[in-house]
Amino acid sequence: MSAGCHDTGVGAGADLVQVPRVALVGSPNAGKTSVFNGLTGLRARTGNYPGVTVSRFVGSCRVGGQRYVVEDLPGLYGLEPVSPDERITVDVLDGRLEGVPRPDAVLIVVDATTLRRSLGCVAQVLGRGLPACVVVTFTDELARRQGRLDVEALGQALGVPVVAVVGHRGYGVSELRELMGGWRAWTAPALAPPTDPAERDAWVESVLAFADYRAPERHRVTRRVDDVLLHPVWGTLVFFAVMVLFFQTVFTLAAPLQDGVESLFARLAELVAERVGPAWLAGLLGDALIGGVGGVLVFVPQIVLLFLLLALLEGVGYMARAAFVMDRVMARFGLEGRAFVALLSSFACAVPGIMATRTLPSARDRLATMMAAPLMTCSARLPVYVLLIGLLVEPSRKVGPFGAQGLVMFGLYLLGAVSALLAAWVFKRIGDRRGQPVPFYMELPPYRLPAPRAVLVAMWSSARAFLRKCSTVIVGTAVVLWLLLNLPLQSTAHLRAAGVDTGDPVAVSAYSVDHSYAAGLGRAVAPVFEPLGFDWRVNIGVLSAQGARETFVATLGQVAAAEDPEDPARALREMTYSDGPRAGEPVFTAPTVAALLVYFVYALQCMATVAVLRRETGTWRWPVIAFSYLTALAWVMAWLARTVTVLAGG
Amino acid sequence: MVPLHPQRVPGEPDSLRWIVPAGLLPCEGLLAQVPSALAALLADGTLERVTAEPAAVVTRLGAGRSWGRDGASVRTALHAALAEPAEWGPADGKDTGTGSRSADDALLYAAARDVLAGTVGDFARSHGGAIELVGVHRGVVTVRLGGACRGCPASWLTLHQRLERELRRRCPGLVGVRDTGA
Amino acid sequence: MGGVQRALAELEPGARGSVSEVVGGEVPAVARRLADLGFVPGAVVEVVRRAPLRDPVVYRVKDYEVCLRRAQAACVYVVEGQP
Repeated sequence: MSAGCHDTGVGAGADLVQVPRVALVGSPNAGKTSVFNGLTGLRARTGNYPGVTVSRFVGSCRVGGQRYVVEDLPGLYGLEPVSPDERITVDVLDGRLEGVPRPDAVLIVVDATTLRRSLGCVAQVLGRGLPACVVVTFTDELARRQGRLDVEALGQALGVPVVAVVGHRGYGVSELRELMGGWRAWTAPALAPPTDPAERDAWVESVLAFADYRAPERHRVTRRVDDVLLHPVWGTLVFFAVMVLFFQTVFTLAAPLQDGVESLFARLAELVAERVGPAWLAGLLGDALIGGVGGVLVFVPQIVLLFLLLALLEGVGYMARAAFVMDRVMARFGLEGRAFVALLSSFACAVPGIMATRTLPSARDRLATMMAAPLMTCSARLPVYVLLIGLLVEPSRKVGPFGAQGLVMFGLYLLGAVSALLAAWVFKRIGDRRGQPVPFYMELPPYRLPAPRAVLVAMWSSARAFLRKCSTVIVGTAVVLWLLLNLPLQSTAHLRAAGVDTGDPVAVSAYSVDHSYAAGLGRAVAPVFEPLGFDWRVNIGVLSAQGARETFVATLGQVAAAEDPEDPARALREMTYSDGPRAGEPVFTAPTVAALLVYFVYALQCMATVAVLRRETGTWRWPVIAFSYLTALAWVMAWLARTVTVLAGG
Repeated sequence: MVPLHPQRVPGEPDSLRWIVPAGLLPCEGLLAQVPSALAALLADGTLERVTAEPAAVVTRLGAGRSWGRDGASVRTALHAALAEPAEWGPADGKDTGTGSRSADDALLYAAARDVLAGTVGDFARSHGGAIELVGVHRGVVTVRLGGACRGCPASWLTLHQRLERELRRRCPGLVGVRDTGA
Repeated sequence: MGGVQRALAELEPGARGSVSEVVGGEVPAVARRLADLGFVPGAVVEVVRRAPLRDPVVYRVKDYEVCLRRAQAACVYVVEGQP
């Protein structure tokens, strides 16, 4: 057993020997994934191929009493690979990839609407000599667009079993399962298809003619819609309109829902304060749990809406058009249009953004985009920005017709996006020094009405990931922080000895916090953040936000509440340095807030992003690189922001 | 390049049926005169014989040859040979342009026997039925339905959709398929 | 044939041609990939539309639509006016 096996966590040792392995191959849009899901029932184990940035999907299915391991190989257009993903597929088919056994049989998935192109790839795979079965997908769409195909005759012409499967309807899946059960008896072509390109072309034409194939008409709706959406003038306008609508929905439509969640938690906190007896328990429940988690859950409506929009745009087919429109712009930064989609998704959250880079055929583009994605202003930064901008700019201040707060927010979004593009450009330049560039090509799928269920599933799985983050990382951090802020317990005698008026709860709590473990921790890292103007309380906030950015808001809230339980907002505003050279001066001056904001623009403070980088790249190398470069950049840029603000007389 | 692809000939592993566009070749039946590329393979024993059908060429391997080793060279030779359709000639030296109707019927008979031994027959047998070839006359193929096929409403569909389509593909001159019981 | 050979990148939207040659330039992977995508000698290509910023361009080949950048389309030579 080689080391690669447990690396991927795929299959136990005994399985690899006895259980037949069936691999799915086909071009990227052929519907492999829905066939895979149909066979395995969504129970895929995801991992990585040993040592490369290529994700691996393995599932299993049972036919009769026999278990089969089903592997969804990366999509490819031909067996002469141009990208690392395709190399994996070819190596697996040839049994040349260490730690991944050669499949016993292959299911070649082809899209019936692109059969004329896809059969070239089928010819190449059949030439590999593995027992093969051809799975034809999208036959429903072929028929709708006046095309036709005799599936049985296709099987006769190819010399292998052929089955039609309409993945999203589940049609043909049971037939496919049955067929898989008899894979040892599959017929093989009498003669492998030709390898010479001209002879292969003649073979494809002959097979298509025998199968009575008629290509689908061009999708009329798609053509008409594209006439508008990809028009030089209208297309550009629509593109900007969609982008504006995207952010408008996120910020305007979500606002009333957010207010609702906010008041719900406020009521809950009141209830706890009234009903819960012991003061320490009320503190833990009210400040740490309800305050901490509530501060984050407020953003759930916004995040759900963001994901809903992304899923809708993707499902309809507009994302491919957005990539097409933006390709030229992205090319300036060494990337391609699909990277734009990944970065756009990162406005919701870097995690789906990084996962969306899977559509990029070039591994170098993929890495560059993944390194840049955490810089896009994700929804977790929003609560932090809202809090800090509130401390920086009066709500009533206006610049022309625009609110000053909104302009600062826009500036931060812009700073993040521009930084992301520049970072991608740098990483692409570094990557491009070795190896050949991958040519750019992209299919534009016809517009489709997305199945509501698919959209809801996509939205729910993203929202669930966010909620899980809230319930684990954020709750954990909030509780630990609460303990750190409230321990050690100060005895009354000790307080008296220190000259604290034990009759004044505000003074007691201020003293306790100032002498807590958290204060010790915050002071320990003070030398690092001192040049940025952060005091120990801000340091605690920044440290606690390392797991998830939103925690910063909850932490500062807790600190402020501990110092002045009556009016935490005022406590925050009037917070002063408690020690050090700046003792007595207010903490949240313009230079400090500016430095903090810029720090949050750059720093990689998100365990989920680190974890997904590890999963998607298959090594710790890239998350470590991303974390180091972003943290260093955050410090330097924050220092610059502080210096500039001081010079500007802020 | 002429579109072509090979298919197995049921019961004859040494033969391959190369599907070519209908009407490409000027003659049918066993061939004596073929273009030089194919003639070379007949001469060196790679191929034993070459037969033309209305929409296919059937090649039979020589003794001791295999498709795995020799198939690719047969295909390349066929491509070269099909580029010169005028060079193909039947064994009896007759041009089928003037060929008799009985010669057509004989070809149709052979094709029908093939199809019933192959996919269409398999389909009937898998459903517990049987289709027996009765005869061919003036382009009309007559069959008899047996077993579970007799009186089965689906048999009409099987006959006309599968058998007729399959036969017409090979012999565009097919007039129709008839069932004796019908 | 006998028409004039032109690079696919020079064709206007609506134009059709049949591929006469695919050259890879310095990168062999480009020619291979273009062949896999359906740009093989004899294939009929139609220029469908340009992106609003004029690049990339959508082509219809082998019954489907795919977009290529100018740099890749310059590797494909076509003879214009094939049906």
